[in-house]
Formats: sequence, structure tokens, C-alpha cells
Amino acid sequence: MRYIALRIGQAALVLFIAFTVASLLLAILPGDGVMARYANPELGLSSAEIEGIRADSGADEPWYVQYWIALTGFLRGDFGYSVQSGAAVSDLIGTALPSTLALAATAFIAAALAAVVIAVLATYGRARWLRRVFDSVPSVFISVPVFWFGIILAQVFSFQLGWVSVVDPGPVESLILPAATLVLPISAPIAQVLIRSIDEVRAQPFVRVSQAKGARPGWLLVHSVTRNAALPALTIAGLVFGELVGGAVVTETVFGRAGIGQLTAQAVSSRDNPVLLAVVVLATLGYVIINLVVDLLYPVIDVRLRSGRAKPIPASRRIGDVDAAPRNRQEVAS
Amino acid sequence: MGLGLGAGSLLALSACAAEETDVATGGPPRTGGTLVYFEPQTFTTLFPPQAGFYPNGGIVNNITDRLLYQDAETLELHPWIAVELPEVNDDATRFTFRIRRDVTYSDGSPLTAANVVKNLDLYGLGDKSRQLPPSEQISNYERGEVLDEETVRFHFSAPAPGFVQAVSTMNAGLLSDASLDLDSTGYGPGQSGRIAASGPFVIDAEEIGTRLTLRVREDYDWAPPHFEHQGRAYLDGIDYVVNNEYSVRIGALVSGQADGVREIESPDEPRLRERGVQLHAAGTNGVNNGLNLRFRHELLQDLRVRRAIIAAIDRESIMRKLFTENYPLATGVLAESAAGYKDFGDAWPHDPDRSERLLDEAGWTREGGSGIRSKDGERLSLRVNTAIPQPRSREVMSLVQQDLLRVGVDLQINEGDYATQNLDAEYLDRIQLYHSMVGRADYDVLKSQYSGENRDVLLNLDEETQEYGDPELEELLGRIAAEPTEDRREAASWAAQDHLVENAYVLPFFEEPQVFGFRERVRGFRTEAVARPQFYDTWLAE
Amino acid sequence: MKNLRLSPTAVIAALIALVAVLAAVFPGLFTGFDPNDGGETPALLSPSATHWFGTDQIGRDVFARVVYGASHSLLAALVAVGVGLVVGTVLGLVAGTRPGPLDDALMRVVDVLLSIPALLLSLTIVILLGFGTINAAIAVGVTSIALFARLARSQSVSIGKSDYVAAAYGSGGTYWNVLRRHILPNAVSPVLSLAVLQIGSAILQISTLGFLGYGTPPPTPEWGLIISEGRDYVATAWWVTVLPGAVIMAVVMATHKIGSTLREATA
Repeated sequence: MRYIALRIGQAALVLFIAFTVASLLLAILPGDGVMARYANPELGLSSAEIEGIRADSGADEPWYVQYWIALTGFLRGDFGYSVQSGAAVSDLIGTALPSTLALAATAFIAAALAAVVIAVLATYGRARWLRRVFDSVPSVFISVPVFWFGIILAQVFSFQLGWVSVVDPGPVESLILPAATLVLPISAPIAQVLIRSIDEVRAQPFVRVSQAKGARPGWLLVHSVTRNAALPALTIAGLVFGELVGGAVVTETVFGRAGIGQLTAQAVSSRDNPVLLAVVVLATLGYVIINLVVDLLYPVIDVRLRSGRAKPIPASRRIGDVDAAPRNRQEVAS
Repeated sequence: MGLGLGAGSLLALSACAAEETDVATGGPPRTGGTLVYFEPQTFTTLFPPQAGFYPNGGIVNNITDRLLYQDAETLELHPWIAVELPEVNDDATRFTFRIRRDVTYSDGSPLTAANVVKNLDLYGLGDKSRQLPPSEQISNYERGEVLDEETVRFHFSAPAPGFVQAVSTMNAGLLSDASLDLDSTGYGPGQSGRIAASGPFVIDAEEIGTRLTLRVREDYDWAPPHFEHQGRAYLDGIDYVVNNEYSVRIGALVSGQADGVREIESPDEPRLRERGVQLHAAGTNGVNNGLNLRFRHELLQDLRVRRAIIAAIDRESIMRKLFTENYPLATGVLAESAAGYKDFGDAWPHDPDRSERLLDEAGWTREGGSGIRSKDGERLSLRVNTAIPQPRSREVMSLVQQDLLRVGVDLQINEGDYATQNLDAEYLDRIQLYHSMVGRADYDVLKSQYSGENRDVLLNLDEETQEYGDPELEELLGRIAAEPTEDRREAASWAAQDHLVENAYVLPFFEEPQVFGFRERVRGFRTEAVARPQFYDTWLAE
Repeated sequence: MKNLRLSPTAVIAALIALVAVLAAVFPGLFTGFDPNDGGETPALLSPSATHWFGTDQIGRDVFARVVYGASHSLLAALVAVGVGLVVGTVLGLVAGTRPGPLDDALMRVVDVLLSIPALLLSLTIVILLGFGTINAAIAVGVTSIALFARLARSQSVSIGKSDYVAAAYGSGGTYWNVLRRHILPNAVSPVLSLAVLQIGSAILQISTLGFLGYGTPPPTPEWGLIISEGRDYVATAWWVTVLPGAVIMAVVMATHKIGSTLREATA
């Protein structure tokens, strides 16, 4: 119990530090939301007029005043107002979140399915060349620039073949291409973990023994691999969350989807700090919660593992595995 | 002016476009259907004085009516909400309009004399407390006055001959009383449903950052009286879809997922035409797309250096490489069709030898005749902005960079998003060469671009000392806006242009058009005087 | 390193990497064209015997730009990885060898770095530092600090428990001494193979910054800039985007292959 309280305390601390770091970073950026909105030459304002607007809107308050206002606001659940549009940040996020969650969930499920198929073919494929080919699929997937892939998908499947509409798609249709784009960077790390787990399970003596006893290989595979891969897969899920945020920025930009990613990209270019702060807090919260759950589940699963016949992976190796997995959270950004 | 004629002749800029449009306007207009129209950027505000930004203007132009209507081709003014052209006193300080009384706003409120005064008071003076600036097109505004139910008068503290044209632009689009009470935020994204105007289309729905839907106003019955087309617009609605990815916008157009796209890039023109897309090139009738040399910067103070930079740049090669015939090479500071145009024909020949000579004379030397020139240990290195809304600004600047490097001048291209570009452009030490243009079909356009009171693209006004680097230029610009008669305004505009050219402050590249692409089924598309789309006459064939 | 067995794919990967490095150091060996000045060459010519990758939107030879871009992109990737490697390893080693409050504090810092979406963090840093290849590289590097820190920490924790480290302390070794002579050398090889793996992803991340408009200023032929500038013409002139994109993919895959081969060899 004390452990859980400690972990929750740590998570809250991380959230607070992330908020503070983000506010500081945003405060020292050159330019501010007011400049971004009004200094556009097409609006025909002179510098004196823009300075006037800055003074009126409080954009020239020192950073600690703005930080304090934002912090107390967040604690009360008030995210403030967008500088660019004036809309309440909570409304903006509330409107954008469902579509991004739908995209993220679809992409994650599709990626997990793709990963299983890749891993099975890479280890149980009938021909050696087939196994070879699928074994290298994850490293091909992570080498593709995501934005580039999205643009090419749109050209080929929407504009050349006309299979899906990008402009006026139905709710399901609208998910197909963006999710397909995201499958690449997300399925690759999962597939890698699965391939490694399958290899390790197959090398264990008990597998050969049970096979000799007449157990069906399919059942064995599912049973043992699920157990063995559970921990790395959970950890990967935590890391993949960050990738999904970055991936959403890119895919929503390419496909013109309204969502958190699009909101973020626009907020960055218009220095809309209240929106950016809220996105950072949201993303950090998601990351912290997922990792908290993973951490708390670790011992539970570990116990189950120990009671089973499969030899658990040593803890040090486990951390090293995930950390050094070639596919990591930043790559989604690509 | 007939509907067919209007759309056809407007596009005379490009022979091909005009030809295609004649085909497109055949047959009786059909009512119904929604037009899907792609924008590269989302609108930033619907406050009419700030409608100059292309995405803002594309919307404001279709939801608002104006006192007067300016013909995009002849630039002549016609009555619209005002029943006749205004009475103007001799020194152009008093303007009296008579207005229609049968017009209502989409929120149900009537368009009255008091409401018109309220509109122009806000646009002429702005309101600091609500962060609403005045229109850059209205100078010297004092007050409006309701004379009777259908007559209003506007008073100016100094001659303001540009005012008559100013009330015809979308920057003076009329709004209901309730809309005029909004603050800056109320005009922003996410709030568009609060804007009530009297135009042929009404804002229906908005998805912040990605989509804005207009629907037709069924009871619209106050189009400019000289139009053949009266009553409601033909379209049922317009979907403005925003996507930053050019390749996606073009793909959507070619595959039929979108009906229209603004900003077609030159390399795509032939291919699109082959695929049955109609191209419309509309001129923006203002200061040409060009490079402004900020002469107050120490590296550019020497006239010889400015002349050398201009002589080093091969405009014709740039145009040949990057643009089609829809982008006419500039022959003056202003577009040929703009008010106050003066022909400077061959004032900017490409002459790298002369350029090198001038730089040598000015004391900028380079070792062994190559590399970047320097003087007293200082390198001749300048920085130019990327004009994100202008067509192919990056590519144009990349070619300018090549040309300048050949004569030993280093040009840095400023990278960055809108916020960065706009911020940097305010500082002389960050941006010394400024790439820009501005469209407005009035003599005042020159003042809008160069005056210290307005955009001040040359940064002539020193913010710290409040002094002008070249007071003569400012004075010449002021005269354009203050001379009461047409002839004298033209003379003033010419004098200012002479000054800009003789002092090598500007190098115009081309007359910037907006090139639109429309699917074959779209008919009767036209633009207003500075190339913002006007969908009133547009219809969709079966 | 001794049991390094080379598969055919590893050999191909090594060859690709070698060519990329050669192009970075001696670009003139591969092409006679100027990457930044196309002269009077027309824009958007399709690939031919003269212009292998065609010409770009202003008439420059795309192949020459890719070749000359190798030095910029590889240098940027190295800088990015270097930032992550050095800062991350130092953090991780210190945390792993100083259990208690310092370890806790450093690991919270790492958590924070991991929790802020990487792309958002690097965008912010680019805006802060100003636009440019090296600044983009630093921004990307910062996002990988946490990764290196975690690995270095877990390595140093397990090494710290080993007998010889205890022996070293027992024979009077100071903290820094033991760290430098025993822990660092033993932790270094897994960290270095992670570094090789990271080169590929750094190239991709830098090009993503370019795509979003926060990358290298023109005319530098950095790879991300080449594809992001050419992507507008993907339907008219696919070669400007697709061919450099394929080169990036090949190089990234090669570094991944080399990285994972090294890791297996050192595991």
C-alpha cells in the first residue's frame, strides 16, 4: 500500500515538474500569441497598434505572473483561453480529443494485429526466405518517414485509386488512411518484442517436453508467448503512447483531420501557450497514468509468471530490453 | 454587366483561363448543390478590416455586403447597399450616402442608417479596448452622422479621397449591430456563428482549424442593382476545407473530392489543365510581388549596393523557371491594372557585370574574385524573409540567393513558421530584404505598403526615435492619400513610385495573381477586385 | 565483439553506410553537379542519364543534392545522438551508482523528459534556439537523453553489484575512480550500440521537423529539407520526393541493421 502511495506521489511530482518546465520553456520562446496573431502583415497593423494590443491583453506580464495564473487555474480545472481563437481551452481539447482517441485506438489495435501476423510469419513461416523477409519487416517499418508515407498513401489510395475519400469521408472511412500511416511506427516495436519472445519461448526446454507429450504447438505458442511477452508488451504500450501523440501531429496535419495533433501543430505555430500547456499536461498525464498502471501490474504479473513453468526474464534484462529496443518513443515523431 | 460576361472578361489575365471560362459559363445556371473549396490555411479573424489575409477575405467577401460595388475588371464603382454613388465635397472631407432600406441581417435585425454609421465608426476608428484596430484603408476618419433614415454622412479631418473605394472592399463589409459589439475574440476561430451579416451566404457551422460551412441565404434580394443575377445565390452552400498539405489539396481536386482549390502552383498548371481542371488567374491589382530593400540598414545605406543587388538578380530567368504566363513579369511598382500604375519597363535589367562594378566601387571586395565580399572585415551578408502566403516565395528566394552569390553577396533565407516570420520582419537587424506584396484597387495601396503608419515594409520609421530614414518618401506617400482629385492623386502616386525606383528601394518581380483551380462542373466563378473568391454567381452543372 | 558473425544483410548494410559516409566526406566523387545552383537547367526534369534523380523545383540536380546532403544529415544525426549519448550516459551512470535521493531526483528528471511528447519538446527547442541544422539536431538529441540515461543506469546498477566493483572499492578506490575505470568501460558497449541504433531515428526525426517547417533553412541540401520541399510536387514530379525518401530509408535501415548486429554481438 505504501508502495502504491509512493508511486502515485512520484507520478504527481513528475506531472508538476513537466508543467513547470513546459511553462518556462514556452515563456522564453521568442514571440508570443498576440504577436503571432496580430503581427501578420496582411492584417495591416502598425507596430504601435500591435504593442497596444499586447499591453491590453496582458501578454507582456512577466513569466512568473503568467505561470502562477496558469498553475492556479489548472489546479482549479480551468485551462484558460486560447490566445489565437479566444475559445476556452477545455472546449478545444474536448472537441479534439475524441477524434484523436479514435485514431489512436484504431492505430494501436491494427498495429498489434499486424505485429502478431509479422511475428508469427517471421518465426513459424513455412519457408526460410519467408521468415527472413518478415523478420526484417520491423526494421523496414521504422525506417519510413511517417509524413512521407502518409502523403504517398493519400496520393495512391485516395487520389489515384479513389478507394477512400480524404475530403469528406464517413466516420470509419476517415480513420483508414491515418491509422494505416501510424501502423508502421507502432507495429514495429511490438513485432520486435513478440519475435524475440517467441524465439526465447521456443528455446525453453519445457516447450520441447510438452511438444513431445503431444501438446499442440499453436496452443503452446499462444500460452507461453502471451506470458513471456506480457511485461515487455505492457512497457511498450507505455512508450508507444508518446509515439501516438507525435504521430497524431503528423498524420492529422497530412490528412487535415481535426484532433489534438492538429490543434498542437497550430498552437505551436501561433505560440498559443495556454493550448500548448494543456496539451503537455494531458500528454504527461496519459503517460504517467499508463506507466503507473504498468508499474503496479508488474509485481502481479511477475508472481503469475513465477508460478508458471516459463522462466521469467531477469529484471535487469527486462529493462535493458525495452530501453534498448530499436523502436522507441521518439521514432514515432518521424 | 451580365453574369457570363463578368466572369469571362474578369479572367482576361490569362488567355487560356478566359477561353476555358467561356465554355464553363454556357447554359442556364442551375440552383442547388454544395461547393467544396480548399484553403491552405484556416482563417484568423472575420473582423472585416482584417480581411486582407487571403483565408479571412475568402469568407468575409461572401458573407458581407458593402455600400458600393467595385467592378473587378474596370475598377469602376457601382451602387450596392448605397443606392447611388456618394456626394463628396470639394476637398474630399465629407461623404454623403443614401442607403437601401429593405436589407436585413441574418440575425433578423434591419440594416439602418444608424447601423451603417456604427459600422464605419468602428472600422474608421477601431476600438482599443476590444483590441479591434481601424481599417488600414480608411485614413483621417473623424465621425459618422445619421442625417435621416436613409442618409448618412461621414466626416474626415483631412482629405480622404480613398474612402469611396474603401467602402467597396470587404474590409468595410457591413455587420449587424450585435456583431459589431463583439471583441477581438468574438471574431476569431470557433466563434464564427456569432457573426451576422447581410451577404448571400451565412455561416452555418465551424470545426475549428479544419472546416467552415456556409449556407445560402434564401431571402437574399439586394445584389448590386446592375447585376443581371438577382435574388439568392445559386449554390446551397460552400464548404471551406482547410488542409496544409498542398499535395493533398491538389489530389483532392483532381480526383473530384473537392470542387475548387485556391493557390495552384505553376508546375501543376499544365497537368491540371490536361485533367480537365479549369484554371482561373485573377490579378490582385496592387503593389507587385517584389523585394523591398530596407535602406536604413547599414549594409544597404549605400545606393550603389542597392543598385548592385537589383542588377544581380535575373528576374526573367526566375519567372521562366518558376512561373507560367499567369504570372506576368512586373513592369512597374504597381500591377498594370492597378490604380496609379506607371510603366518602368526596363528599369531593372539583369547585369551582373555592372553589379560587380558597383560593389567594387562601393568598397566591397572579394579575395581572388570569388567568395563573399567584405569591407573592413565585415561580410556583405543579408537576410530575407520567406513570404509564406505568397506563391513560391522560398523558391524565388532560393534563386535570388544563387544570383547574389554569383556576385559575392551572401543571402540567408529566414526559416520559420508564421509567428517567426512576422516577428523577425519587424526588426531591421533580422530582416534586411523583405519579400511581399499587397492588393488593393486604389491609389492608397502604395501608402498601405510603404507608409510608417501602415505596413512600413521598408521599415522607414525608426521605432525608437520615431524618425523617418527617408522623410521625403513618407511625405510623398502621405500626399497620395490626401490629394482630393483623381488627377492629383495619380500624380502623387507617380512621384512616390519614381522615388522608390530611383533610390533602388524595390525590385518588383511579378504581378501576383491568385490562381484557382475548379472542377469542370463549376460554372460562373468570379473574384472581387483583389482576387478574393466571390461565389454569388457560382453554380454547379449536373 | 569477438563473436561478430556477418549475415549478408549486415554486409549490405555496412556497404550502404560506407557509401553514405564517403558521400559525406567526398561528395565530389559521386557527382559533378552543383547542389545549390542549377544554372539554366529547367525545373522538374524527370530522371535521365544526365540527372539520375531528375531536377527539383528550381532546376537543381536532385542526386547532387542528396549526395551533398549526406554530410549535413549525417552530421546532424551524429550531433543529435551525441547530445543524447553524453548527457544521458552521465545522468544514468551517476544515478545508477549513487542510490538514494540523487538517483531518485535524476530519475524523476528522466521521467519528465520521457513524459513530454518528444515532437512537442523538439519543436519548442528549435523555436527557442533558432532555425538551423545543428539546432534541430540538438532539439532531437534532447529527446533521446532519457533513453540513454535509463540504459546507462540499468547497466551501472548491475555492474555495481558485481564482485570486482566491490573489490575495487575494497582496495581503496574512490567513487570517481571506480566509476571511470570499472563501471564506465563495462557499461559502454550496450550504450554505444544504442547510439548506432539512434542515428537512424535521429535522421527521421530531423526530417520530420523539416516537414513541419522547423528544419534547416534553404539552400542547405539536408535530406529532410529535400523531401519536404519536394513533396508539393509529388503528383507531378514524384522523383523529387520519392527518390531522396528511398535513400533516407536505405540509410536508416542500414544503421538499424548495424546497430542491432552490434548489440547482438555485445549482448
